[in-house]
Amino acid sequence: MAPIIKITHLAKFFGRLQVLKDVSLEVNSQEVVCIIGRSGAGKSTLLRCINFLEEPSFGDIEVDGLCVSGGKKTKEQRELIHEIRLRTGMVFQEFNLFPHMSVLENVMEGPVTVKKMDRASAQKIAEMNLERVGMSFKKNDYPNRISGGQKQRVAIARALAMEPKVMLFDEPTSALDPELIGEVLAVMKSLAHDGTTMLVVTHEMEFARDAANRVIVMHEGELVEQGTPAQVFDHPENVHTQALVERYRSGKTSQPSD
Amino acid sequence: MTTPSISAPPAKSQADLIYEMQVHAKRRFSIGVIISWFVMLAFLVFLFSSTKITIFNFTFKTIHIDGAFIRENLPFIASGIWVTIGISALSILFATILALLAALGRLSKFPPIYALCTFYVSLIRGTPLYLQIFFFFLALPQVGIILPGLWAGVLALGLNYGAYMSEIFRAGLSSVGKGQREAALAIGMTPGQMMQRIVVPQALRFAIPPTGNEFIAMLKDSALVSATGFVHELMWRATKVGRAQFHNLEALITAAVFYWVMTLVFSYFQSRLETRMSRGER
Repeated sequence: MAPIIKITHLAKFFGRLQVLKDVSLEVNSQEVVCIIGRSGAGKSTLLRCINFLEEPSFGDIEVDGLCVSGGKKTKEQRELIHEIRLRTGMVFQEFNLFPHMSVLENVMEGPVTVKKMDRASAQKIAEMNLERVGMSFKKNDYPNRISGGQKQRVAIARALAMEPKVMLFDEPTSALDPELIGEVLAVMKSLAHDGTTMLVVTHEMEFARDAANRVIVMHEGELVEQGTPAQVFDHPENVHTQALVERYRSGKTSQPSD
Repeated sequence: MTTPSISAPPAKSQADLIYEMQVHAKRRFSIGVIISWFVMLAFLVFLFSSTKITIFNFTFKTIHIDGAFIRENLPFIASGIWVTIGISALSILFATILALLAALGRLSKFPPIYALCTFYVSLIRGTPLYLQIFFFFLALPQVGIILPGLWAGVLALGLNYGAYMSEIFRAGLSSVGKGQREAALAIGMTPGQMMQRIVVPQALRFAIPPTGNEFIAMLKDSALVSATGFVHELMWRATKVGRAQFHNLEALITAAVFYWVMTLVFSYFQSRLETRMSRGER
């Protein structure tokens, strides 16, 4: 079976600074892949290149068979990017819920505006996904009335409502108070359990260990190691992985985010 | 067991006492401000009351205004209120549309559109409003475009305020964070849908209270339209009767009172709107 995401020789520059150096990566259907690494290693940039929130400088991004190359974009390629965004769901560190819409409207917005679905069907889908993240009870509240953990769960429901082929998580718990992290990770674990294809950038080693099929370690814009959680956490080969695992073992499970 | 009868109220904690002191201090201040306002208002009225005062052997008389003239001409001047409000409302509507377009245009990556918006703002802000009003009323007929005074006024005021207000809308648009745009794009919105559904509604919320302020400013600047001589708003009426009967003092005071009261009334609604908009949200 073809991979859902296939990244080949991806490079990204911010001005003269090269943040990604020749990254190649595949994610298969129903796989849960966690990307770990120090702040500034390029994890978030890599993730954001997949749905073109960052423009790759060089290399190819292929999502669900749709391939777009880095560099200047033709009109056709812009349409492909749009199609890729429809097939990927993204969850941000800062939630980015729409503050002028209720929880329910936030989740309905994609189906109604993008998919042109009628409001009744969109509401059904939205309610189903809010149920899935355990947020139905707040559906008529506005985002400023709910906690950070609840916001992130709504944000997950909003992405799920578009029925994406793959979910991208960009440090979904880094902006949360420690006591709120658990509820978000629990939702993510249940998604993983249901067979959702997920690519997760995280500092939560515990989560990577429990939920991932594969762990990828990044350092200074490169993939330095990948393998099963057991391989990476128990028998790390690369020195940077060893340092990362060492710090995790000594009790520092999370670091300040990028 | 005996239950103690609760007769005395529970003692106030220190926090309660401090809080009460703060509330008292605030209240004393506002009462002081209100009293001072009334004293100043009374002084102003006294100044125009033609009262005789004698200090030692000097006798003064405060300014005399002709009450009969005011009573006689009050209905004539007052009927300009609706014209003033009408011009201001039409102009602010026109200005708001222009301001939003100009602010959106400045986000454009297409050079001519960006340039058009900055050119418009620069040209309008670089010339006097008074000149612009005359330009539409007096200069355009020379090239065959004859606008009635009202429309010349609305056009000039709208264009002028639109240029200034585009800055408000620009601030509104940039108040919507990058994360909001990214979230919209990530669920598959086109840039157009993103602007229409996510960015502009949030920017408008930000821009509505300052737009109220602009409307209040517009109420007063609409007086300039009287210069065309064809728009019978407050100022025009006041100067007309004032000049004709050489009672400019009375006529202008009357108009000033109307402007002031209108401003007070709209400012009250404006501040209520502001507190309502600032509640909730984020």
